[in-house]
Amino acid sequence: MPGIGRILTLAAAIALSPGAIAAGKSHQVVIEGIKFVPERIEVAVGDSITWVNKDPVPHTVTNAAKKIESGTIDPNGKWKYVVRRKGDIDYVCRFHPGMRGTIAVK
Amino acid sequence: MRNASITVFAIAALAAGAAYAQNPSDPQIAGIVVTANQIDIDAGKLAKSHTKNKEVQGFANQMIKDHTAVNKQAVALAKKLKVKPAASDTQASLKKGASENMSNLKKLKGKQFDKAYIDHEVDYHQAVLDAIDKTLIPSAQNAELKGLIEKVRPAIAAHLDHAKMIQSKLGG
Repeated sequence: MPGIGRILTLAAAIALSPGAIAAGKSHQVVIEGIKFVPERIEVAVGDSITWVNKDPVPHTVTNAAKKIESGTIDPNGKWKYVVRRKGDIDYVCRFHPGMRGTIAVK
Repeated sequence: MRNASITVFAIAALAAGAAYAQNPSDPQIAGIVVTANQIDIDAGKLAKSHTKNKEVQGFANQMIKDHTAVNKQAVALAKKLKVKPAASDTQASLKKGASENMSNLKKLKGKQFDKAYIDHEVDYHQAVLDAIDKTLIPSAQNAELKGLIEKVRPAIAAHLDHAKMIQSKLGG
C-alpha cells in the first residue's frame, strides 16, 4: 500500500500537469472606434474572452437577459468573461446605442 | 432655440475659418479640446437636472461620462507633452456660444427644454466634428495630440447619431 506521502506527491503531479484540467482558450475583443472588434467571435465552452478598451471613452459589455454585465470598462481598461454555456450571446454597450457584438459559443 | 442654432453656426464658421486664417498651435488645440469637452459636460449636467425624459436623461449622462473621460486624457497628455492649453479666438467663441446656450436653456422647461437641448447637441456635435476634420486634425503638430483627436472622432460621430435619433423621436 502506498504511503500517504506518495499519494500526495501523485496528486500534486496530476494537478500540476498541463492538460490535467482542460483550460479554455483565451480570446480578445478590442473596443475601438465605438465598435467591438471583431463584432462576432466564435468560442467554445470554457474559453475566456477579454475586452480591451482602446477608446477614449468608457464602455460596457452587457446582456441584461443573460445577466452578463461588465460594469464600466474605462479607457485602457479590460474585462474578462469565461463562457459557461453553449449558444449565441448578443451583447451591447449600455452607454452607446448601436454598439453590438455577438459571442457564438460552439 | 434659434439663438442656439445661430451660435453654433457661428462656432462652426469660426472653427472652419480658422483653418484658412491661421492654424491653431498645439497649445491652442489643447485649449480648444478641453473647452469643447467642458462645455458639453456643463450642458449635460444642466439637462440631467432639468429633464424628465428618460432618453434625454440617458444621453445627458453619456455626455457627462464620455466628455469627462476625454478631458481627463487630454489634460494628462498635455501634462505629459508639457503643452499648456492656451487661449484662442476659437476657444473664446466656444465659451461665448456655450454661455448663450446655457442662458437660453435655463429659461425653458419640459418638452421645450428637451427639444432645445437635443437640437443644440445635434448642432454642437456637428460643429465639433467639422472643427476636428477641418482644423484640429490638419493643424495638430504633435503625433500624440493628433492621435488623441483622431481617437475621439468616432465618439463625437456616435454622439451626433444618438442626438439625431432622439431629435427625430422628439419631433420637429
